[in-house]
Amino acid sequence: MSRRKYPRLWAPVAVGIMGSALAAAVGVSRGWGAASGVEVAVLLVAAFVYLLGGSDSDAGAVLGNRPDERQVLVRLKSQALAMKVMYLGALIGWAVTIALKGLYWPFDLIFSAGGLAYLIGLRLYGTHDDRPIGPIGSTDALQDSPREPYNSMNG
Amino acid sequence: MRNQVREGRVHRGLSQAELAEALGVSRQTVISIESGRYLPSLPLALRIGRFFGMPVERIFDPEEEVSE
Repeated sequence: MSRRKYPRLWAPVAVGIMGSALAAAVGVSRGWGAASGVEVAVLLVAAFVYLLGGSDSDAGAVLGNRPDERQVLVRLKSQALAMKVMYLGALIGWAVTIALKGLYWPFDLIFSAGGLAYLIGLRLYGTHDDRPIGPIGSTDALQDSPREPYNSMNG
Repeated sequence: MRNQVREGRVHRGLSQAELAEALGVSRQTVISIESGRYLPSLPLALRIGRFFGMPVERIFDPEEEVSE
């Protein structure tokens, strides 16, 4: 369960901030009329996320930031699926952009950042034990330094 | 893996929502555990065992597979 304050607000606020950044980019490139349309759509999506976050369901628990252990797994699997689909979409976009001789460096950035994040994730979340393996049945490799054999007579 | 969570809950006259609240999980998770679709973590399994006053291995039987 989340220890954050106002857990249900986090997802809609994140949608609002990211969507507003997109709307600002649209405003700079295509004018503020188009940007206001994007902002309205962003606010509608944020409101939908807020409402869904209050529902008695797995999606509600995940979006409302109050998942239990199974729902954390559901969220992880959903994120993994979303990442695979995004990567596939980016791969198609990359190929099409290269074929059309367009500017493809944003795709380079996506694949480089994604690949690097994957490797960092393996390093961060994996278990690492570089110490040598001792003889079968021994626990030597698990000890940081050699110890005297235990003798109960010594107290 | 088959389990006795549903039987224990019914025996105590609890709803899935009440059991979920007692265990600190969602109602959907209790449903998933009862149907055998989700194997709880060791801490949650121990909480379930403590709640029903039974050893974990009596609640969760690794020998019996749930046929879906």
